[in-house]
Amino acid sequence: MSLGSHRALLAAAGGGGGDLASYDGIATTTLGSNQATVTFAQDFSDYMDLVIVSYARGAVAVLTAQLDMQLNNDTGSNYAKQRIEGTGSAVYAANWASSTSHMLGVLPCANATANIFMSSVTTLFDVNSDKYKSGHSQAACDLDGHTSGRVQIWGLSWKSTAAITEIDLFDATGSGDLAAGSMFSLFGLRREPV
Amino acid sequence: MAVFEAIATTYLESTQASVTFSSIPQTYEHLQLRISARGNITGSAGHPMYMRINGDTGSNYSNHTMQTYGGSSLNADPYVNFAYVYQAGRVVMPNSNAGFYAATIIDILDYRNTNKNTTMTGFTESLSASEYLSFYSVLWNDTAAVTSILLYPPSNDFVADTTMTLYGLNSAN
Repeated sequence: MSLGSHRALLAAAGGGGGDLASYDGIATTTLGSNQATVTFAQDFSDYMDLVIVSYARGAVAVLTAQLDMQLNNDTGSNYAKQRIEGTGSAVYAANWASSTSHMLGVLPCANATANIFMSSVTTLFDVNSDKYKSGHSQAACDLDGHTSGRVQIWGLSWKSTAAITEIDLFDATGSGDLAAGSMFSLFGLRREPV
Repeated sequence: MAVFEAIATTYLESTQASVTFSSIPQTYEHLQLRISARGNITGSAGHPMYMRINGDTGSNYSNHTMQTYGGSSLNADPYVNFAYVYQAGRVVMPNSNAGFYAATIIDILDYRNTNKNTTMTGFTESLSASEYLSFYSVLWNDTAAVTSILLYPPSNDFVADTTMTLYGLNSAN
């Protein structure tokens, strides 16, 4: 689930992952000012899996908000997700069968301690298949001095058979931007050459 | 530069009280630590592994953990404003069966940015006789770039065959 774990698995299996070039850096965006949405859009057909690394904060004047993701501009109720969350001394589990977006983690926002960002790693599997697209995400929102800091693990499924060609990341409150300084990196794990 | 590059590996051939990665290159976007660790605290089966960044001994570290013990309980814990990271990972101890080492992966994102505090995520586990699995966050409440990482058991030493590798990642070559 963490960065690089799939490369290690591929390498261990003797697959293309043993070659460092099988793990590509596709793009990085660091926001110079507040921005509503970050988009990665291109032909990902060279890749088996995609890994999104987010180190992000929200600009809206609340303590926390959600970092959400939509794929291929799909705003329908086609996103299934479930999570395990630890906050303070409690653990919760929840699931949503038909949401309009995936949630990747909790963003510290303008009312949180300055300079604290959410750390999140999201993997989307078999992004060019004709299957529904599954994935998982891990996230940490460690608010300074707060026993309500959160850690989350997500299971994700986008109920579409289309190849993924666009990834949009945004603050799900709808009224808030992603804050300046937020950083998003996209990695691709190559298919074995055919 | 490779996308996923090994910066340094420490392989312990004998017991050692701590491991330090110093002079970390400021040329990557993100870091990842991969650790296989065992210690020698007598009477213990497993214990958290501590961490400090840049030699900071102030109360600038917070930790939020979510874990299961023995597969039969699920809970969470906050460790706020500690002088070290309480759980940077896990270390198997002598009361566990021989041959078991704790596996840990820690992601350290945007580590060189001097306008952001450092929030990490980690996965760790330990077996056997100390069954433990945890996902957790680490906050170092400081905006300095991460230039060194100290890892150590709460007392005594890491034992031989403990390995730790620091990787650097770049998405834009």
